[in-house]
Amino acid sequence: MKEKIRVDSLDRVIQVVEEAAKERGLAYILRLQDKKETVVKVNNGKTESIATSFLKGLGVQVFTPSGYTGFASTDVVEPGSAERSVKLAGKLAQKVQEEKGEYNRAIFNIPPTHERSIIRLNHPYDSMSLDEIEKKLKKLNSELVQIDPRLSVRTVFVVVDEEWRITRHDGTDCSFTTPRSFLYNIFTAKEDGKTTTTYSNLPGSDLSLLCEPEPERKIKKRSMIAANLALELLTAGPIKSGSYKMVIDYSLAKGLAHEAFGHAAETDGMESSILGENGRMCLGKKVAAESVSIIDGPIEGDYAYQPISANGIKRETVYIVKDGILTAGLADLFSAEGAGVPLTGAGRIESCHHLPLARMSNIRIQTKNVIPVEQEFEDLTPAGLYRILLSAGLVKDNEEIIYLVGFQGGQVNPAFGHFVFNCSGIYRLGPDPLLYQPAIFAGNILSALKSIRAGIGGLKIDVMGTCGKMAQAVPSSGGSHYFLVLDHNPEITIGGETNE
Amino acid sequence: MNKFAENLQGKLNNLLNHTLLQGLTLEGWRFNLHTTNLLEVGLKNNKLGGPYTAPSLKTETAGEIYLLWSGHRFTIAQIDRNVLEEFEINLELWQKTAYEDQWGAGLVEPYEPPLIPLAQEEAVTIVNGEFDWAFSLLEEGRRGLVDCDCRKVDGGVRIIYDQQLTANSAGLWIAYDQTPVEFYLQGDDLFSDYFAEKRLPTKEEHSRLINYTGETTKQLKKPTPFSTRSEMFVIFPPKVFEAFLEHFLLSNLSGNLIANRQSAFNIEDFTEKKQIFRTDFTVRVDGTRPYRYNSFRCTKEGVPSSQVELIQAGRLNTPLLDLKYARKLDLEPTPIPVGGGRGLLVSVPGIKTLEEVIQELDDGLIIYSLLGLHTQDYSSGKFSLKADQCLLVKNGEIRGKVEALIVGNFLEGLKADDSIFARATQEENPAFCMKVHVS
Repeated sequence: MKEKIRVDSLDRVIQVVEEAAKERGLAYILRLQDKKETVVKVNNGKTESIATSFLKGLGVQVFTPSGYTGFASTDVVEPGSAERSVKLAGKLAQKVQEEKGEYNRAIFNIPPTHERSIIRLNHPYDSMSLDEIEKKLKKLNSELVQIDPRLSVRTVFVVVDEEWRITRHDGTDCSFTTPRSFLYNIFTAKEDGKTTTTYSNLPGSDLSLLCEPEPERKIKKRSMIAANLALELLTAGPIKSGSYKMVIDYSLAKGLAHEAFGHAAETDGMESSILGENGRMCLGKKVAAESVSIIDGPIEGDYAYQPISANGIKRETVYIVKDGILTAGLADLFSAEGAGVPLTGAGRIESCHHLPLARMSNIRIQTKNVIPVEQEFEDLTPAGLYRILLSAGLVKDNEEIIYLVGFQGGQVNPAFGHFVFNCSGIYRLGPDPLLYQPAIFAGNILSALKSIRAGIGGLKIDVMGTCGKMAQAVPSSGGSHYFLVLDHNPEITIGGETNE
Repeated sequence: MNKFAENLQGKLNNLLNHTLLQGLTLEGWRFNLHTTNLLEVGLKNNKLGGPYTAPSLKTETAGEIYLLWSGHRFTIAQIDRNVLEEFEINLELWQKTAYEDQWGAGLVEPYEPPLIPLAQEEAVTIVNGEFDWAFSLLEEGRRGLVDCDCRKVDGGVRIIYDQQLTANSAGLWIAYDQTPVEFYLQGDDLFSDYFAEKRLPTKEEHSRLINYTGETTKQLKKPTPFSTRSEMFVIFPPKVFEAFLEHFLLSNLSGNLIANRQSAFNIEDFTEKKQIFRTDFTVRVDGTRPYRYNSFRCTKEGVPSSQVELIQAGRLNTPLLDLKYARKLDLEPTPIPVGGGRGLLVSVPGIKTLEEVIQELDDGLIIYSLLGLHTQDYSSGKFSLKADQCLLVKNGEIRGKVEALIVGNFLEGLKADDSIFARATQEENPAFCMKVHVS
């Protein structure tokens, strides 16, 4: 017997949409969402707030036979409002037709889908009392505050229980869950009028983050590193602007994959992406060193997991880059054909009130001939990393090399191939590594990946983030090996000061 | 919405001073609700509509409920249209999620709110079904930018009819309508500009947006050599300046962050009215002006809209304080600005126009677009950014488009005597010119 979820009970709404669309000669995609969320914030040992929220709604995108489209959404999930939404969306689609706007008939050229993906969780949304959650978070936060009197610490815990059901005029009926959670600590260090802020986090899919020993051990280790970094940054100087041979950690490697490549490979932007030519993706182009591959796809239990697209199509795992060659796009229903690549089910939305865009899920960089590391990532100091580099012959004695730690987010302009991401701190490596202030990593999409020379350590792909595109925010994740070594490249610049 | 809110009010009032099953006694409540009807029309690659920018109508009722229980316990929850139907289930959850807070906020006493007009009838008519205006606005924008030699035009218009209500058990009941309107145009992926107010743009405002976007895009198509690696002046036009204000100043003025030692400023800096910035630099919040994007009647807690100086002639005057942090810091609550950096109004007396400042600049950049601002450490004030769309100025003349990395400290820039503020046509906030490392 199949496990019941909340959106299973919406058959009547689906039937009404089907009938209303049929009556008007419209094709449609109906998106039903049911989301519960709890957010707990603790600040310097005291509960700041506990907030709960719910989102129930439907969004219906209709298509005229010529492919003109309109959209309506509502938080009233009942037959009357569903019918009204079809009517309004139809009126808007008609208006686009009158204005000779854009049309797209891809919706008529795909087979129906019947997929169901319900994740079984060890510690689901309601499995722990809020008292217990609050107690655990206060304990963790208080321990972190104790690290140093110059520190103040905010802890945020979020757990989300989200269900989706996508149906279409062609009989498609897909249901899936996208549970997620994260624990986030923000460390602010203050001394002598100087202030710095760093972060530690751990993503997951349920309450396991709070009730299993392994996540607790992990977040504490990560937090200790972030806290010490915040304190050390109080007295760190600025780095000199320029191009360097460098090592980036796996969180920044996620940033590199996401900003430098993922966005440019999204096919809804191929008409202006630097990876396209006349709107077609330049498949077969050499874009990275031969040992480098970039993979994107959903992973069960991951923070950004989504097995089925917002258009009701199974999401594929794709090699965007395989052995240095551009081999696939992140393709959604409406742009795959135009970009000349297979459909991969990449359409995602923030909520039922939005229209799907081609997006990443979990994106990671993998290299061949990886240098193995026995220790856990969190146990490796900058000095330890330098010793690994020396013994692997990746750096010579006295050779200048910097090490960037901690991903702080990034941004890209795929049309011009510019991307940036920021780190939490920079070390000049050597027997006694020296810490510098964070600085922007700015690069060029078409050349950045060619600089990857080696991967060090096992794969770590649990870097979490929130990806913003066209005013929609969706969870993102990814990673790489513990470290990537990047050769000196004049097109990758660290934005420091003009004199050190 | 009023009927719905009255029913919710009735249910909550029935519970006042009653001890519920979980042992909590309800001592007060506050909720705010808003029903939004939103029309959105987009333009992508010169074409109206399409699968990614399809015209959309969205309807939603949402808000927040805040319950005050005995024993300094409080509940915060988002509420939606189903809150009445599922009231008993919600009530059980609200009790479970009650948390203790010695500084938990009380309620605002009833008052007569300022009558600030924030809703325009014409805008409501469009959202209610007269969609043509929105399509025409975008089509005129497209044609205007094509006339300025733009090959690729993107744009969008959003019109919201928003019915707001804030009520509490002390008798506060403030209901009002507003119509935020946002409209943007972008030329050739190079430059975009926007209009945002609580009314439709006038013909002049529309034309100005088209011309400014078109002309700036044109200028950004002419590359010029640039190999500077030194300290130099850069100009942030008003909207870029507002983005800096939002990231670095708004965050650091938050009462929550100040009270918890997570801001660049300490509470003593405010109580002692410390001179932190230049003596000609004043920042205020003013939510009282008719039809302005950053105007409002009251905050979600019911604090009335008013004019408050946060920084007065360079001295820190007050943090931004909600009821909780006003109580904790023993200060008066303030209105909370709407619209991010646009909600902070900067005034500097006797400043030159932007054109004059450009003419007097020997060597500098005008920065129209930055990558990575949101990734910067707000608390330090430091930034290291890619300025991907800039114009190089040499001897007072614009030479052409360049790219650069810029590094500096925004908070220090606001203190520096050599920083320059400049008045920009039709913009509320000034442009800002400061010295940074450029490479």
